[in-house]
Amino acid sequence: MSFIAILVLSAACVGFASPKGWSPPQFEDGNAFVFLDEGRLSALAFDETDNSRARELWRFPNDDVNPIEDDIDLKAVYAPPIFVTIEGEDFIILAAYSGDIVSITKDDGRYKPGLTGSWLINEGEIVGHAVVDEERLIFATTEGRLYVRNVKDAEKTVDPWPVDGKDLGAAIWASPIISDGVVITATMKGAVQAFSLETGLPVWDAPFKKDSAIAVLALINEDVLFVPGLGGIIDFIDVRSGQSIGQSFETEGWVWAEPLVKDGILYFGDFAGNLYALDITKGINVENQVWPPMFVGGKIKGKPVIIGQTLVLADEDATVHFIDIEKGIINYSFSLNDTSDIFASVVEYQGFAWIVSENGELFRADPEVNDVKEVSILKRSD
Amino acid sequence: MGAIGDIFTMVLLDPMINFLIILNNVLFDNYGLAIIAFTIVVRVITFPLTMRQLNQTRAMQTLQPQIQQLQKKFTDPKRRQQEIMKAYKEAGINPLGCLGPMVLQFPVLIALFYAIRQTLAVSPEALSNLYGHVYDWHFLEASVPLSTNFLGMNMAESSLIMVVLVGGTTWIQTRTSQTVVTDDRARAQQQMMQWLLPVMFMFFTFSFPSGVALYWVVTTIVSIAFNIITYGLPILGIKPMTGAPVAQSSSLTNNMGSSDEASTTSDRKPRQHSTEARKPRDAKNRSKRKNRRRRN
Repeated sequence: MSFIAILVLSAACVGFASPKGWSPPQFEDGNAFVFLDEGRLSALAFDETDNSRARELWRFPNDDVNPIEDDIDLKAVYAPPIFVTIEGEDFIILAAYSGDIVSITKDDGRYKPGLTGSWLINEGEIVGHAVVDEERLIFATTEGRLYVRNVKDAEKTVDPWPVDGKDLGAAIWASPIISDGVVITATMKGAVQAFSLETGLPVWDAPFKKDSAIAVLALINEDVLFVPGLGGIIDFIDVRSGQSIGQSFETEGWVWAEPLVKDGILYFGDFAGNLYALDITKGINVENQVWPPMFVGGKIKGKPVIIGQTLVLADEDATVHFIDIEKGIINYSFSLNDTSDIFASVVEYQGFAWIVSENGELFRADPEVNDVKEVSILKRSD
Repeated sequence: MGAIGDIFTMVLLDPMINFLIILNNVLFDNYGLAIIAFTIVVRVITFPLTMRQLNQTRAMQTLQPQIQQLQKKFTDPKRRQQEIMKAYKEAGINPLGCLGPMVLQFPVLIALFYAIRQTLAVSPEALSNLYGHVYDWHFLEASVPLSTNFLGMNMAESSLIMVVLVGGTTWIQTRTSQTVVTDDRARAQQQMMQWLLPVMFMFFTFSFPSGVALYWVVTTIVSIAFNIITYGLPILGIKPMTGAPVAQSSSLTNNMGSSDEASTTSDRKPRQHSTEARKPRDAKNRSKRKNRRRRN
């Protein structure tokens, strides 16, 4: 009996959902920056004539090239890389689930401890994005701490923020939002709080509270915050007062995807596989839906993009949908067979939609011809 | 396999996950208490199956001296097998009888383990996976992810305390379930298992979240209780509550000491207490009487 139990336990130990990350691809200076392997960022240069072919310029971490990177294990990254310039040098900041936040040089993707602007810190697991606002680096951890540091070295705190972070009492998975010198965060206990970056003091009279976890937070225009919960209720709150605006919006499944706003229409998906379109110019009201919730099939975790009149969306089941936003119909669905799940947001670049799967396969979707193609990547041998 | 997996998920795993979330809500949002209560409830529900399995095992152990005699007596394997089967039949024992309850319990125990592992939602991917298992009731959905702090431990991470507890409880459980054997090889094997199992479980616990380890500790404590009910605990003067022969049991009593003591114990003749335990001898007597009648 015990032996069978050991077998079951050991099998289960291996098979459970381990963190892999779902960072979307980023494009900068004609190159793509993609996590092709778990916790390992690759810089890709496209073929000059065909952007469905690319070669790997560098990858990070890579202890074959830089032995010091042997100690760096990002484990899983859920946020896109951030591009910053510090004292004239370009850097990429990566915030990882392992707790490592590292700044590497953009040209060669290396961690250079002696160089101003290249640093490595570890303060706790990070699921959301780190944010750079002028000189400040802002990030929050699953331990419920909100940090504001100097982006130049990430060690020194920005006065009056404590060096060990502000304790917000519950895990933070959502990315912090910066608006007019105010940082807004949401906890997995359903509290949304706003603090002045200058004073560190609360800006609202009281935190906004809801009865479910908040895994994502987004600013949908200058004044309104989109606050979905894992309980399937979305609230909209005034960014200045923290008060609820309009009606709450009920969804069939959890909402854990950032929304897209285009021409006053708010598009977002839920875990039940529905895509919603809400005309927020007419007020935040259930009746202002542009079309009824559109069922696409798999869970929607990522943010869609709109190219021309087509909304491109990828669901967890690795199906890419081309949706006519005028008519509110699916023009075409392309199933990526033998591909791992897709959780990352879709990104637009050069008129194409770019999608990365959980296992790091990169796809290029062309809404003009309803086609999806896997990018052929020539990897470095080191 | 897919259909079996779906049935397993729908009938066992999903109800368990949701029940665990309800328990968490009822027990002051304390996930550790929820795991303890949940494990005890499931083990109590499967108690009749567990007892049946233990009783079958015990009955087979009672018959062991007779089986060993038969093994010595008959050199022809076919004949030996026939005689052994006959002895089992006469004693009213089905040698595979203990497998039935065990097979029935296994899916439940596996589901229990998976339910705890799923609700722990140790990573964003795991929380995303949990979505498909939580019923579409707002009060359940609004409860996840569950708070994983319990007695200063993070239930989602491994803990040295839990490793020690798993080792300790598994060792006690192995001792309380061990039976008296007369065969030297079997005895050596038993003694090896007594240390091997705790060490193996401790090894696994290092890579498990504490929540899963807590489940293992509680389920092992429940198993120890069941063993005591079945075999008794002579060291504390506790007799088997199901009429088990005291000397047939593990005897934390005598085995707690040196291995020499253990072997002394093993040489003792079992005292007959229960009707069930008397079965083999009664069967033997009946058989003798029958033979006598035939001769007459």
